[in-house]
Amino acid sequence: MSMLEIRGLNVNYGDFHAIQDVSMDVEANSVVSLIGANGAGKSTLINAICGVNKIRSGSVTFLGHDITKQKTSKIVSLGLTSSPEGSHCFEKMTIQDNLLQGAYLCRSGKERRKRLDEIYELFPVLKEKSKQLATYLSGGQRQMLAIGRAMMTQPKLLICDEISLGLAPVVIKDIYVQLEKVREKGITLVIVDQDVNRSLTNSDYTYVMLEGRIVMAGESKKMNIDEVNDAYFGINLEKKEA
Amino acid sequence: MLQYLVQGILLGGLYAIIGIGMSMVFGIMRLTNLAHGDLMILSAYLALTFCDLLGGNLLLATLFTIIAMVIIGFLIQAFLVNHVLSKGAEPALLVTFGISVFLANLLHNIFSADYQSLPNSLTNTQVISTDLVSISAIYLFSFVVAILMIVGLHFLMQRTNFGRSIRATSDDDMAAGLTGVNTKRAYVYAMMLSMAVTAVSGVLIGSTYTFNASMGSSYLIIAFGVVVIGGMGSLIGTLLGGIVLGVAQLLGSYFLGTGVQLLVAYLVLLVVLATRPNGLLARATRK
Amino acid sequence: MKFDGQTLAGNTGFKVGKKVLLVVVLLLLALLPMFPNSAYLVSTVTLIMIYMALGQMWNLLGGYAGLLSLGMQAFIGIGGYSLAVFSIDAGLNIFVAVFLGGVISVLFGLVVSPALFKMTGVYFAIGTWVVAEALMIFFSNWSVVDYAKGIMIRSVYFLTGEQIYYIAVLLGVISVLVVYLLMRSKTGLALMAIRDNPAAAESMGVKIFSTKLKCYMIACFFTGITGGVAYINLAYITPSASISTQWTIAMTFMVIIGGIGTMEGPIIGSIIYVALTQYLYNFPGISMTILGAIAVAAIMVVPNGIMGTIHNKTGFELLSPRRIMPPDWKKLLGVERAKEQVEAAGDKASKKE
Repeated sequence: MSMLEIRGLNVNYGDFHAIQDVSMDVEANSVVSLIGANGAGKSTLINAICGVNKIRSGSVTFLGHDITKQKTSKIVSLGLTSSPEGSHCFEKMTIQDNLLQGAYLCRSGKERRKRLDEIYELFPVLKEKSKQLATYLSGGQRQMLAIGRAMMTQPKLLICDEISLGLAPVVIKDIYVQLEKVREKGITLVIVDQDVNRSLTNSDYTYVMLEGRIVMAGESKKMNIDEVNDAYFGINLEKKEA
Repeated sequence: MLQYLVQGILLGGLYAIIGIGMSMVFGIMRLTNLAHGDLMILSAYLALTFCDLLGGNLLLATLFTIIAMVIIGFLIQAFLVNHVLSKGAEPALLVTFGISVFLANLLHNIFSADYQSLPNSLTNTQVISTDLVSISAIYLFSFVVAILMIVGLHFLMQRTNFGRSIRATSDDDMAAGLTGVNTKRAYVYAMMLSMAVTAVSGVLIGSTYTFNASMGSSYLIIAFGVVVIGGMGSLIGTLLGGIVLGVAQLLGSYFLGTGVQLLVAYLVLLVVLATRPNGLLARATRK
Repeated sequence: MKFDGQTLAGNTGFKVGKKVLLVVVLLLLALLPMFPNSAYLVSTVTLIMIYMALGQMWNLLGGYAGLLSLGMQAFIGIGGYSLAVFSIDAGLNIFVAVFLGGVISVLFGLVVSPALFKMTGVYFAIGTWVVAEALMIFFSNWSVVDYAKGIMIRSVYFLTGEQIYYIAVLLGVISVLVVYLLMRSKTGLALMAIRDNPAAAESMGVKIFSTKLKCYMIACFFTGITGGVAYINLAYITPSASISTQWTIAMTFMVIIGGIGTMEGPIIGSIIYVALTQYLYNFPGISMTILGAIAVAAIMVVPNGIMGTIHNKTGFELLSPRRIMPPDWKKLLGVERAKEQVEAAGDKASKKE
């Protein structure tokens, strides 16, 4: 059984059928890429998995628990969280408070401190600015803060939504280096990105979304970049298995 | 003049307490609780009732009042406000308006329109009594309680895991959910906390002044004034807001007579609303 | 997204039916005092008409212009006191006095609007309320209106209940007509655009401030006039009763229970409100408690009110402020909002020609 199993998922966004019959699997200790153009429904899907968006039909199973209709807080306590699109830092709180808030479910202050030190080790820049308000961070730093905060929940599966949106290539490279370290800690990753090439080289498995559907899926290494590009832009609409 | 100034500042403490509960609820869930004044008057009546039942022990009555108000806060938030919060600011505003009408008239039916007051030994005691200035014990007591509550709540909000989660929820509820906070429950806790403070404010108001069921709305305007002048959601600001309003009111009564003292306070509030809608303490407005 | 003649044609039979219904209602209103034993009904409908006029104005602000005001009672006080002071102290005709009340309401609205319009949403709601409360204290300390003592409005004593009834019916019908015509004018279109997307509306040349101010002025005027008519009916005025939140409560609840942002909402709401308060007349105080409970329940269960819910479910509207809109407009808007905005811009441009 996979760590995360999504079967026949349908999500409405208002009256708009945003996610249509999506099925996905995420194996433990793997890195899965989810790619697609703007408006393909990636964030809607992620938010539905995390319990932020209401699911109309279908099921989501995480580590054997049915989390289809669970509250976000419950899902997080099971070990699944995301760093959302647009990072959603707590603007009026300090960096340190942002991170400590990530460990909200941890009852021991000592343990929270320990996790904080680990994050500071991973993202030294956050330590330098620990007393500043999140609102003064740069785009890349915000992304790191969001990932750091998500890691403070000690997730088994971490979903990074729109990891590269609006960031300079240098910064993106830096973040991918750090994500590799996250993976080494034994955390399963789902990375949402818009760059086909980068996604294929940095993941074990790739899903391509188009207009609310999964139109292509396969092992990243075996996928043909031209075919992925076609699927990404909807040039050839038949579903393919690489 | 000095007497009025000193009394205005001390009255500000009392006003700050009235404002704290409202400020918290606004700061955390962006809800303007139009029933705040009536809930405060309800607390005063509850304290009066408990006091009668307990043979005049006001301290114990206050404790019971706090417990009762916390339960009421839970009911209001869990069963009413939480269901309409996601529908925008106005439905939630109107729900609290409905609660306000309901409570004010209910209290009127139960307790009649007669003015009541809580038996408090501090009410008629003077701490300082000179020719120049005299300070009533109850005002000083209220002022001290206000400062203690503000410091206490500030500590709770800034230094504890609970307080941090509440701040996080008010900042970005979706992200707070992704750190494991049950945001609806956080709102319930916030309302319960606010009602505990409201209970204290009701007891203090009931001990300082006479009250009746129809006075909720004037206290609501005071609470709103305190919160607006001090900056919505700012705890320290409420003290400033209370003092500004208290001093404005008493200077108004000094210069223009007691009949229009509240008018002066209202005008100050309107000027602040129109010119500094984010409060006097707010830095340059961020868009 | 174009709705051509077909949508219209399909509704024609329905439309004729609606017109017949409207005519019947108006005829009944005109003939009501001539029925035997109708005295009680006449006085009840007088109240309904007065409250309906208030509700229409409150709905114009809260439902259409996005200006949630909790302070319209200020204008009832101004209207009522204008009637009293101008007709008694200045000896003017009562109708002139009532009209002056409307004019003074507009002037007062103009004076406070620069400050009020700096506030938005909840701040506006409370700001208007504070203005009303301040005015109440001012009136209570003002010699011209005889302080808080109250004035017996003797100048209206010569009117019969029947005459007051016709004044109220005229006012009620005019208030509906004014809001209806306003909503079908360019202003109405602008208001809907502002409500749906203020930024987009503004970028297309809708002047948000002046559009909202126009609505506020209209509401001030008619609320002032209604205040005058209400006190023709009551004949005794005090500051605390005229500038009282009781009026706001009535307006808010009528509109919310009836359906905020619908033409029929205030009509249904005023009937329910007056019927309920009349029914509970023997239990003073309780009626308001029950009204409070009903309003809370209404917001929880049917947030769009009675008419809003009926409209969403069946598409039925007696007085549609929109020219052509299918019942499932929300759905269509959700999917093709962008498309529609482009078209709205086109429509606007073509209308200017």
